[in-house]
Amino acid sequence: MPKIIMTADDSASVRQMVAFTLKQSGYDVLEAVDGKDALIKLTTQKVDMLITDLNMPNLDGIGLIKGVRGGSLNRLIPIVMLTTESQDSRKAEGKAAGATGWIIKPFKPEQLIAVVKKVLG
Amino acid sequence: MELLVQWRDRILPAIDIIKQSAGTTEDEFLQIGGRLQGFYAESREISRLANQLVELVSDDDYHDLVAALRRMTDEMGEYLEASREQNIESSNSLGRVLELLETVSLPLAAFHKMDKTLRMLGISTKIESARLGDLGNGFTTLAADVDKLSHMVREKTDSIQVQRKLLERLIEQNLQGGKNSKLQQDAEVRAMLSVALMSFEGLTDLDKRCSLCGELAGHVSNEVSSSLSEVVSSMQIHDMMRQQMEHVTEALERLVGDVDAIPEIDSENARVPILVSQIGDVCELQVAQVRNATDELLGSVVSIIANLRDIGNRQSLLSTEVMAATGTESDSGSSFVVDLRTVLSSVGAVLSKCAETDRMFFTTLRKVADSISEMTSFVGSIEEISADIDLIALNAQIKAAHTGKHGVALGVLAEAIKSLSLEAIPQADALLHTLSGVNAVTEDLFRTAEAKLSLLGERVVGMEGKVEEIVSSLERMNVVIIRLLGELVAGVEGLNGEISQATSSITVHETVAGLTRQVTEALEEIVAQARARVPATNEFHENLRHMTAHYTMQSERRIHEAIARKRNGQDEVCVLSPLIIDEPGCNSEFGDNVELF
Repeated sequence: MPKIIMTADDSASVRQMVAFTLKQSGYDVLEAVDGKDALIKLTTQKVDMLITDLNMPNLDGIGLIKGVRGGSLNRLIPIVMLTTESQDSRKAEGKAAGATGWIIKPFKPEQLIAVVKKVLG
Repeated sequence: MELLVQWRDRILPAIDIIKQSAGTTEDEFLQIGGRLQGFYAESREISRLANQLVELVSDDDYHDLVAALRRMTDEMGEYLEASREQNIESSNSLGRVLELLETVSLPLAAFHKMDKTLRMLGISTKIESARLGDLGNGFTTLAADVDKLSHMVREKTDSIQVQRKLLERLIEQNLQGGKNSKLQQDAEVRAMLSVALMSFEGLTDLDKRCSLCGELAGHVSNEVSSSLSEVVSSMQIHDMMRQQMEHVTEALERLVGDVDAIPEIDSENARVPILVSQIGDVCELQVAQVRNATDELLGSVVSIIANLRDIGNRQSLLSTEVMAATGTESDSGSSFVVDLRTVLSSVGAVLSKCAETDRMFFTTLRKVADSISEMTSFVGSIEEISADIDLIALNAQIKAAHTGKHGVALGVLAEAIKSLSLEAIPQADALLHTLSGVNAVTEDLFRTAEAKLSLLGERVVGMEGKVEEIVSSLERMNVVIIRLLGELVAGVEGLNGEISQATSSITVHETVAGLTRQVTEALEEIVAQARARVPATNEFHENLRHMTAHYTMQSERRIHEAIARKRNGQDEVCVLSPLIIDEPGCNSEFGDNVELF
């Protein structure tokens, strides 16, 4: 069974590139247009990993991480931030919320796949 | 105050343009991204086909085929050697038969002499019987018998002589003709084998070329992955540009709000000069941000187009190299296999010709053996003639005795005939001995040649079978090669066509450049007018500190910092440098922009 990874980003083109990269490596991809959409979907859908943007409308990435960690179905999954934000203070904020890793956009496909493989074991 | 309103009225459409440029680019990027999966799949299929083609002429079956061809060449060489040896041996034997036939001349000459003597004796007998009148009546029959005998001797010896001459001519012609045709065929086969050997060398080269092609396919696959990776990276620049433009919009909208906050009639408001200075600073900074975002977007689109075209070009190169390596110039049905098939078929044809010549030579030997056998049968008739002469001589002696003293002369004739019969016996034996010798040699030659030629014939049939087998294998391989090649060429053409169509329809960068030019021109004009009224101060950094909190990208901060440094009389740094990857301050095994907690 292929592993399922959710990508949450308000940019359709970024979601498209993340999905393209992951599907090439055999993963199934679930998309969410923002943090709120992701959180709703994650209450019913079990996934193996979450890749989320930081700045999104309705609910940002930090809020999403907190929501997932506070939930039940996916609370232990690895969550990697994929954002243009590079400030250490924001990273610390993400780490404190429960992020597993931080990737600054733009990512290279091989980097993303390496990180996914690493965090999924 | 009026000027502030004018600026506000110019900033508002600029904001709309920025929003429009950020909004319209998304669809075009999504369209490109949507086709990326197709390009990737097609590219992988092309690489798979190229590898399959390369593997087809590099696998064990191919090596077995080359080994079989080499064994075949050796076998053909051995056949030629054996055939040549057999030919020399047969020629020597035929030469020996010629020599033996020459020895038949001596006993034949003796029989010719005997014939003459018999004729003379016949005439003498007739004369003597005429002289005796009635007493010689019995000798008339004797003369007729002698004549008849003479005629028989002449007839048999002439037959042997004619047969001998025919045989000599047949053997000489065969020796000369066989030698010439053998030499010619040897030359032909050797030339063909030499061409075949060159083809086999070509096959070994083909193996090497295909190995190199396999490596090339690997390189191309890596390069295509690298190009796709670049495209994926460049596609994300759109999102970064969008964010940067959103921050510009926020800054300009805040500025418009500040202008709107001052009452229109309050021209003497102390905040106006501060606001003019701030408008100059903010607009100057946003021009830099817009230019940077536009440049990044342009760079990314150019990179996307170049990398997509590179994917097509690399696959075209791979396709061309594979065609060259497999000896196929096109998918029209030609390949190295066709040339090889021609060579092998020619070699097979020449070998068949060789076998045919050997069969003809064998037929000649059969004729020689039959002729010699026939000649030998004449010797029996000659032996009978000797016995007849002996009887005639006895008869003559008896008749001469009955005739008394008148038959003395006839008695002498009878004696002469008797001595002739005695002479005929050793001559007939000699002829029989000679012809028997010739017969034995030819029979032996025939048997040996029959056995060897039969073996050689079987060998040729075996080789023809193997050639057919190899050619059939090659043809099967050819069918697969041509099919794969057709698919490869069609795949490359399809991919290139789609990439060409996709890249030629990308206009997003030109559209954005046109729109943002309008924005930067309007903002630069405002900056110039603002600076004319209130010169720039080194308070920039402090005045715009609030803006830094909104930045999400390091590139935006760098631009902000560069303008601030410029205001403070320091060097402007890094404003226009590529900012594709920001400085994250980490250095993990996954790259500078990745950090795992």
